[in-house]
Amino acid sequence: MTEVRNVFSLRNLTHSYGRHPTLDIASLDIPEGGVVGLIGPNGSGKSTLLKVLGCLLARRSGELLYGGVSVDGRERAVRREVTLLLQEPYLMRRSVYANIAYGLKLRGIASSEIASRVSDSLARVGMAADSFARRPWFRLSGGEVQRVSLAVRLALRPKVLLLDEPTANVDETSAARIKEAAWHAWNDWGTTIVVATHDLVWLYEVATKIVSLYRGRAISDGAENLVQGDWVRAGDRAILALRGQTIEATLPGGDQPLVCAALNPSSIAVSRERPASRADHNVLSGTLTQMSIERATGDILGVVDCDGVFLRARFPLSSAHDLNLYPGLAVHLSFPVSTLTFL
Amino acid sequence: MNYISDGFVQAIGLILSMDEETWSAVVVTVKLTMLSMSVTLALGLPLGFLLGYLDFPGKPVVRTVVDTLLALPTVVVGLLVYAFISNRGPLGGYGLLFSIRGMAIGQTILALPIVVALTASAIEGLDNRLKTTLATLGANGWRMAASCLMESRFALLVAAMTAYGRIVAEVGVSMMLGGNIKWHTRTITTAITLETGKGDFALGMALGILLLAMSFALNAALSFIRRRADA
Repeated sequence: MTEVRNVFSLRNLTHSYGRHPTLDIASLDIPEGGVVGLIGPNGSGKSTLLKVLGCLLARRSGELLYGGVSVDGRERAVRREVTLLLQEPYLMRRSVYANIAYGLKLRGIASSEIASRVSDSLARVGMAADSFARRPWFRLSGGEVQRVSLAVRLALRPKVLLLDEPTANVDETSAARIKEAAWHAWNDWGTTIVVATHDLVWLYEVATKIVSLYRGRAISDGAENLVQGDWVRAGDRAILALRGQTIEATLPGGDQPLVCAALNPSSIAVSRERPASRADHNVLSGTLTQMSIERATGDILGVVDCDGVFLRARFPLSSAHDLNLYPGLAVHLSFPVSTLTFL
Repeated sequence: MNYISDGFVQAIGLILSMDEETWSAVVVTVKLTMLSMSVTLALGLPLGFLLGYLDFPGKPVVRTVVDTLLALPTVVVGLLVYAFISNRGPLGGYGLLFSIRGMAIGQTILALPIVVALTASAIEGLDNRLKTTLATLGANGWRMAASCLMESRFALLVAAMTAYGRIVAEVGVSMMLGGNIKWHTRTITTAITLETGKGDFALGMALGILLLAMSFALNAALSFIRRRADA
């Protein structure tokens, strides 16, 4: 069996802006040559984590290993191999060509090679060099800026490409080109890709590993449901009232606030017929709105709308076939009360 | 009102006839401006860059002092520099008084705060994402600093033009430190002051037209360069 090498390993890593902690990751490995997706609500620490991985932000404590060796003292060398596409990318006040050539010149690459890399990287994001290479920065649309910014990074042939919401503010065509270019970088050069995105359908299809973040903590390997709302205490249970039904969870110990509960999609059973009610199980009715293949597991991830709360359930392809599941179908979800864990 | 139109016609004649006295003031002005601008930019751009780029204790105080010096009165600068470079002053032995070099010292002191303050503002006003972007591409140290300077080039051009405006239109320092000596230290502005006082509007107007033409030509050239850079 081939041993999986980790390009990044994080151990007890913390980061904070002032007194406000933004990252607190006990352990996280980014496998080399993988496509790792970071998911979580806004403010969960995705962007901060990407900047820490890119050696753009210093951690407060803990260990960050790159290729098995601490990054301390070699941040500059790491930045030569790891590059980040910012959520709101910035182009220098130069031509598209000069923007792409900038990082290549820093690496001492010959002019002839620079010219071919500029053309190649522009082609990868669906832009013809003849039309765009000489264009100044201010004659580009928002989507074109995003694509050129990705081309700037692709030209560097990075070992690790960090993408922060790469398709958040662009039109469908640009988004498709960006996804395609990222996939080709992974496929052609074996570039490790770490991407933070809310485009979950795409992420489930391409990611070899998914990390859920919540308030700076990595709460699970894989897609995770985060059930947020006005949870109230009722005896030994916490109850979240939806429009016509409720979700129950085991009350956590101590004074832990009831804000957000994590629910593993694998612990949710999907059925067409309503299962018999059980005291230790939640049974919810909803509509299957979306189905996608999860590359990391090979299973199906179905999104079910339960009175406005969207829950992801993971089930094998065979179940989807046996139950004849398809988007738009009314389904029932069942999961033990004890599987909900408050964060 | 005829004296104005007559003066204008005579002024054009003086310019076209290459009147020696007129062109002497122009040459002195060009020499003085080039010297003052060279020293001002050589000192002001790096100082302004450091002020805008670096964070250090007391930076707000330095910034306030520089901003205050923007309003430095020309006669006060003239007085101070005069005290230093006159025969009784500590720099009296260098023969700077009533010379172009002495006038340039005063003009540099006047224009330096402008270049420092505007350069610092230009650097501080750069997009926050620039440094992060440069770091993601592998830049650091002096390459990052040079790229930041390059990014603010249009604002730096404005700083230089503002300093030029201050220097070329200045009278007090030139008068006090240059002495308005014909053929030697008489600039366009000091000549205009003198000729107007004597009632010679034609020469005054001719010099005024040349002064405006010089500024217009410089601005047009820079505007052309900028358009070429943008294209």
